[in-house]
Amino acid sequence: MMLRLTNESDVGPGLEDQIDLLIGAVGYETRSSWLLRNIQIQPRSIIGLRFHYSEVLHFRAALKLYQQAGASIVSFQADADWMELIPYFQEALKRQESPVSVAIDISAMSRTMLASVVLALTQCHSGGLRLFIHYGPAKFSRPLETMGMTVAQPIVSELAGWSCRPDFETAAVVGLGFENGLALGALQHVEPTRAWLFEPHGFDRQFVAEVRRANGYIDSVFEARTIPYKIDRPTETRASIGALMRDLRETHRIVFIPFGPKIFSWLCILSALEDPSRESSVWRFSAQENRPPIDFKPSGHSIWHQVLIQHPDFEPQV
Amino acid sequence: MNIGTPSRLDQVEFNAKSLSPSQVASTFIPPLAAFQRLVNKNNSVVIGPRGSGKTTLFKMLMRRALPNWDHEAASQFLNRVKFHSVFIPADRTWGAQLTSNEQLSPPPDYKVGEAAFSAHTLIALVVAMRDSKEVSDLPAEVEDLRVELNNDCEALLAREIAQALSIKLSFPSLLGVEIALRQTLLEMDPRRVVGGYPQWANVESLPNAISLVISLFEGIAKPLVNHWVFLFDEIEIAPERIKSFLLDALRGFDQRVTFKLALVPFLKDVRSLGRDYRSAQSGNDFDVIALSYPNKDDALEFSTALFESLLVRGGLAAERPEKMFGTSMFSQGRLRLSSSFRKTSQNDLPETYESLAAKDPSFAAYLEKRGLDRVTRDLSENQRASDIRKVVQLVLLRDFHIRPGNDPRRVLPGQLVWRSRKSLELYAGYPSILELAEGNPRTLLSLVVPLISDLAFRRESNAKLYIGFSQQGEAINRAVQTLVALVKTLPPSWSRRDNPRGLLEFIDAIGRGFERRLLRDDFDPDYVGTFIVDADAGNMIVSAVGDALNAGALVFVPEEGSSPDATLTDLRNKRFRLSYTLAPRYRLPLILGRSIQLSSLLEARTSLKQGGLRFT
Repeated sequence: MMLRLTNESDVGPGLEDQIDLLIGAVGYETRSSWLLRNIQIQPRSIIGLRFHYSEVLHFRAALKLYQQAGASIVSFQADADWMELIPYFQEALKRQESPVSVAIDISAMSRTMLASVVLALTQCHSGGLRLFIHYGPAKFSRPLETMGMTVAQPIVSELAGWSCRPDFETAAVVGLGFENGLALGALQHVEPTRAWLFEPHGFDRQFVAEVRRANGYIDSVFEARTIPYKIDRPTETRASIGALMRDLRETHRIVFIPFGPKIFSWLCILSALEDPSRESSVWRFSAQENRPPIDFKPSGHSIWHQVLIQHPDFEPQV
Repeated sequence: MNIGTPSRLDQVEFNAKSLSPSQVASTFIPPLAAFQRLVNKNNSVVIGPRGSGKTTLFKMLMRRALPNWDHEAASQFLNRVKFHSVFIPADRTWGAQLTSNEQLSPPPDYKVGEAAFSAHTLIALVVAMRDSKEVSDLPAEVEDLRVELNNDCEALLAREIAQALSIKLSFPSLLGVEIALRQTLLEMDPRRVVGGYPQWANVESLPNAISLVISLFEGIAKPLVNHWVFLFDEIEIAPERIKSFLLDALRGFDQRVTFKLALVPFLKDVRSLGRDYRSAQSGNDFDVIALSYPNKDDALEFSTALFESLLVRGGLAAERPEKMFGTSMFSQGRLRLSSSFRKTSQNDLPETYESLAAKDPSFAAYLEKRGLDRVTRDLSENQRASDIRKVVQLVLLRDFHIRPGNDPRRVLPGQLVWRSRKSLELYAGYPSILELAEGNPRTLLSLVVPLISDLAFRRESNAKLYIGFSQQGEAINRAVQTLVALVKTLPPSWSRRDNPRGLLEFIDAIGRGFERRLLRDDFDPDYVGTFIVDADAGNMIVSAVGDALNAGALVFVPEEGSSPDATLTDLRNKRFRLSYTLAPRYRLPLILGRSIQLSSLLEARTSLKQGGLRFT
């Protein structure tokens, strides 16, 4: 499927807005329930997605909070089929007028969960879909040792891309994180001929220093260019991604490898889905459940990205 | 093997994928033995880990590369090119497209991967046919490959191919056929299209389609040479049925067609493929060409040639590597020993030996037992010198890392010193720095190009400068960390839960096993540097060794007379060593050493026999 975006901004929902559905992850991080605790607007429905592994640390408290808020708790296994989410979303959004408004708290979501939620939502509307994407960055803490990856593949099959030019070179658009050597390893796995490294700048300078330390050798091995981006400016960042895609599309196959802040993963997924050629792929490298659970505490900052999506077949009435 | 645009080191490409065939050819340094065996029209399997130069070798055979061969042996090799080449590129993202799209929900009603692969192969064949018309400035040695195809004949050929493949032409030419096939491939996107796909778009029908197109070309273009060599890159990423088809095809399906396949050293599923890979016989149906070097001396000739060519490209006069890098400590030890022993029969032990003997009782005992601590009548000077030289790397490493302990009778594990930066310099200098690269061009380029670039810049102001050991240590650290990053990121092909830290933990266990024997146990002049996978090793161990082999973290050491593709069928009872690139991480020497069973090496760290991989 292809998404047709008609509006995009960094503005969160105002008090005058109606949220038809709030979707969040019921996770082990305190920040997984931060939005639920702090949102000013009462959503009409809430769905909490449960991983069913690493149910430790803050998980019990988060589950209780979601249940107290009247949320439906839906299981989301690591290798789940995103289509299984559709009935839950359809049920929550039935009888809502177009455009429906959905807030998604991606802070504690896995990349697969995030892509699955978006794909499922696009199947649940025949008109407009307004998405309020919320990302709550964590307080800075030093990275732990990188675990061995158990998965290196497209996030979901729908984002594997498709090209009639397999002979084209691969260009990688990488979101940098602070896990030591992870991006360098991923690039060696994918073997692009060019790489664009999006370097996150957030609210804590220590984070940038760690990101640079963790990714020090990439430009010695790959022809790479670093593009700084501000995590609280999603629309601006997506414009950069879009410009890059337009430049590369005629000569390269584009693969997104989003590490680092989850907001960048969202922007990559959105950009790949919006791409009319649907050639771009979005990959994940994950240690999955082998990753030791850490309770990342919310920094208190809220980042919003709002998009209005029209169904490709929808023609607005004049 | 390819070093990019001449005279500009900052444009050196570490990966041949981004280079056109003519660019590859213009800077090509051949690994002579391998290239010699590749340039013929036999079926071949080219085996090597990542970065070993498989794609470069294949691109060298493409028609667009031929006019740019300028190596001194070019003419000799060109005389053997009696075929047209069809290069079928592949990479991991393309492989993921082939497999992931078959897992869509709802699943597509046809084999997406096979269909796309078939289209991709036919496109490559048509592109090669186009090249045979368009690239006419061929060297005299390959004059027979010239094809006269006027526009009318090309239009006829295009129409006939289109009819045979049931594709719609926008204009009657080979370019038109290529575009129509690309459109067909585009429409195979299962997320986009509901409907039919061409009959030839599966691996059962592909051989017939290939034969048909070649027959049409033969009938209409009337080439003097009508042999086609299909060069399939990275076939390990292909879905299983495609792999099975390609391996089966090594037995041949059309006398005018041969296949050359680029493979990693270990294919986990090769035994489970439709028919046994061994049904096509190595040495009979196909030739096996290995691009890894169990013995470092085999790689050094190629590495040195590549290094010297880089110097020239960097604008530096061709100098011997030892003048640029200095002599490595491991070699220096050797040189000093031989010169000093030649000078006097009353010579004392070298300083390092005395230093180690003073703090390592086990080494002192070894010297005494062998009579090396004094000149005796029982041992000739030459024997004595030879005995001492044999252990020079071991002595250097032990002396460097062991500090005097409180207990003079024993070196305790806690007494090992880890001097990271300084210890990297043990591996600096020639030939060690080139040996670390294992003859892997990508590793070598990433190791030395930044050093040469920097030297070229600095020499503009001072022509006497060279590359210091400390700077080389930085480059060595980068090479080690780069390989570690790859190993850490590769998802293992064994169960996820059994080894949370993945492949790196397995490699670390092996490396630490060698390190323990070298540095923590009593001195052993017979270094253990290789291991043999146990006959009863579990599948997870075999998979882990295979993954490490493919990543270039392990190197297969074939026994005398055994084929380098022996790893394709089973790894049990086979001998391996760690890549020298990882030697600095585990403080190991750059020598092969004798072997022990893998289970003995890992000992208490893993339960091999249960097939487990959980380390304690």
